[in-house]
Amino acid sequence: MTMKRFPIPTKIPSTYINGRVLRDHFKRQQAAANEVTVQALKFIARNTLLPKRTRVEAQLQLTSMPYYTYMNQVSNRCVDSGRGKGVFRDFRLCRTQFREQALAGELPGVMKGVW
Amino acid sequence: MFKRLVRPFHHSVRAWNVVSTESAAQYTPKVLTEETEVAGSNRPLPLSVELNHYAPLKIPVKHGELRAEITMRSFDNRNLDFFCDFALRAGYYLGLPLTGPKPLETRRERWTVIRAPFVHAKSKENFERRTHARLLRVWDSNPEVVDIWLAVLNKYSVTGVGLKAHMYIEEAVDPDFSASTPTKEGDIDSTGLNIAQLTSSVNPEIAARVAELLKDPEFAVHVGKDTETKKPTETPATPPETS
Repeated sequence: MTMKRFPIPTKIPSTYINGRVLRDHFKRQQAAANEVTVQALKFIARNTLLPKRTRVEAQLQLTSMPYYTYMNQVSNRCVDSGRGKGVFRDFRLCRTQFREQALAGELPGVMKGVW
Repeated sequence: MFKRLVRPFHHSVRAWNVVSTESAAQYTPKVLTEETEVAGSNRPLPLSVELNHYAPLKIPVKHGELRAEITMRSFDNRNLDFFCDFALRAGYYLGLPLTGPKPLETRRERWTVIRAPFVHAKSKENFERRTHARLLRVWDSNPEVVDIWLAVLNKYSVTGVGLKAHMYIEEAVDPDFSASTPTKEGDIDSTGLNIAQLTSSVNPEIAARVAELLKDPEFAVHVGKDTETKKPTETPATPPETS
């Protein structure tokens, strides 16, 4: 299933959905699709054995690529609430979702810490 | 087929409901007893079943050559100990000299979160996850038998227990350096650079894209126009103008 709100056909994530989640998912897909090109351009731009004009051309092409092809535009979001802050990488959940699910026993092995 | 002649000394005090590796007694048969039929079936209890009430038997290590290391991990130690016990027994009947289970360090991950979804940041709650681990070592055995053992463990795996196997195989040292250093052959482009050799260290997918990009007309325009490729004698140094 694709959407028309983005310039390129985009898949919808299987997680909780809101506008910010969609935007992040779009950037992830585009970053993945353009990864080889970006890495190749970076290789050309940084390789000192190549002619200088070639390197500058590569750098220009890199800077002219859309912002959504860069991996640094991607940020982790909670898969169950879409929250962008306080997301644990281990569970891909934000702190409130993590607490609720941990107390409900839905996260394997996670228990109330007593020490 | 086992022909049972001896029974363990403490035959009557065995625990029927608990199978645990720590507290299980050693199987040290000392007394000759008669076989008695199990109620409900007209045959005696098989020896292998009766051995479940004792610590697993082990085949002694003879040569000390390590063949495999199995690490089991779980968030709960009950299933983990049970599965270790099972693995030791299965290995014994396959003829594998096993040692272990050696308890590895328990990994503790802790998270502290704010209790409330909004403000009240002083009230927090702690969560913890412990990952227990056990190490089994296999010595002096064929990799084929170890594979069979691992297949058995995979088939009868227990809920919530992960298994990681490192297998070690000894091979004769026979260096053949001609195969390990492939000479990359690629066409040398007009700038005198071998692109295949330049990109030999990067991912092959990226290397292919680099070669493709350099042949692109946008890049090909610049080839040969670089001022740095010219010799310094061809470009006479112009003295700075003084006015």
